Amino acid sequence: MAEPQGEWILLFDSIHDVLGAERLFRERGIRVDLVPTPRTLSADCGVALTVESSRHDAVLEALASTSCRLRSIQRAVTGGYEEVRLS
Amino acid sequence: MIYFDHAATCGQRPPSIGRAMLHALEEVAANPGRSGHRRSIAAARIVDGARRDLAELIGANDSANLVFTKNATEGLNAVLFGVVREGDAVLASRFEHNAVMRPLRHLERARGVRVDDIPGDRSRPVDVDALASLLRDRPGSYRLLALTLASNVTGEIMPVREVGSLCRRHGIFFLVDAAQGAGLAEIDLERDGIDALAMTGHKSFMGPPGTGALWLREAASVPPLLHGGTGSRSDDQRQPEFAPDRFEAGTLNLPGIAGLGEGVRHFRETGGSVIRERETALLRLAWKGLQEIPGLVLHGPGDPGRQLAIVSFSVPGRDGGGIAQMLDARGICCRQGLHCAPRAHETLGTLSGGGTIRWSFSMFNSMGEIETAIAALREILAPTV
Repeated sequence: MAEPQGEWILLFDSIHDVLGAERLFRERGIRVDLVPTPRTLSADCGVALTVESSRHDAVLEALASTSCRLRSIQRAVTGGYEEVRLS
Repeated sequence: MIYFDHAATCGQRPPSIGRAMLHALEEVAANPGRSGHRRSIAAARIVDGARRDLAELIGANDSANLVFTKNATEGLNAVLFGVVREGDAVLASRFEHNAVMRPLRHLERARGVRVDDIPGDRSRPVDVDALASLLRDRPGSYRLLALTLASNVTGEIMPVREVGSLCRRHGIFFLVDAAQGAGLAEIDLERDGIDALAMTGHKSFMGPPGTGALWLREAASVPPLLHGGTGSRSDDQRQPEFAPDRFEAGTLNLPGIAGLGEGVRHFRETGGSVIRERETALLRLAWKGLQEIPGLVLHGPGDPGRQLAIVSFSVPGRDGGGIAQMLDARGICCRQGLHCAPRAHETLGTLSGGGTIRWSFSMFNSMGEIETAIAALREILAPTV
């Protein structure tokens, strides 16, 4: 089941995947923003996606339908971020 | 001025291509995929848009497997050096450009590779039946087969579909050099069993020189030619395994890719079949006009159904270079010589004579230009008393 609370930060392997996922979310009416990748989360020099908190299931469904390589899902917590573990 | 050298590089472009390049260079002016600021993202969107549009144009399902290169030559080198191993045997047609033949000749020396000819001759560059027999007689012998989509000398379109089917049946890696004819000569990556397709940006797609692309069926099957920064997995000192990053080390040519992307969009909006139709009308007129000039020999099929808008001719007993120079003096630019394809000229029988004069057209040429050039050529070749 999807984590129901908090905004998700999606990290991908490549800017190609970031833009591919962004396009897919927009096509499916999921509000999405491009943000600089938080430095504490990745040594990459690029961007990540944030998705609206109420559409987690739709996000996961969209990701399952694409070849975009999702590296991890994070959420902001006090003092930093924690990985969202999906069971 | 009349420009008949579009097979060397596109000589006229829609103004939107230059505008797209200038926008990328002066207004976006950032490195794609390297930073999180808005200009870097804008740059990444330009690259992504060009990649998706080109992938869609060639019928590629996953645009990640389409990587940008500086030209077709780079893509061909990546595949040949990446796929062909020590002691392998490969097949190449007699009409391959030096972009294929020189890497193969190097591999002969460096890796003991054997390079065999695809059976064929002047009138039938690829003899599909003879190739089928050869592959039946030598099962498992060949690692890769390289075939040009269309000859850059005669414009003849090669039987990619039939050859691809044979490659698939025999488990041979099928490399297609689409420097000439990409988007114009019909291909289907799936149906034709193509494993790698190397393209250039500055010919049929009207993009700038210094741009190209390579499509790979299995990105993991080919190691990258270059290793370096990609903006991704920066904490790992090894090259990423995933495409397109795996093949795009170093800063990309953003203005070039912006121009290529705009060229592809223009190509799609105009329609490949519309462009081909216009160019074929020019080809027909040129072929007919040249055929009527006494002493002139045309090379190639002379069949617009299987020929791009390229015409090669020679005039036995006359120096082709001199004729091209006299055409240039009359404001007509064309290319004379071997066109970096000595094997093709060897097969056509034009090698010892110094090659051919090649006229290559684009949709921007006019019927009037063809008539003017033919009149000029008649004048140049008219017997002097």
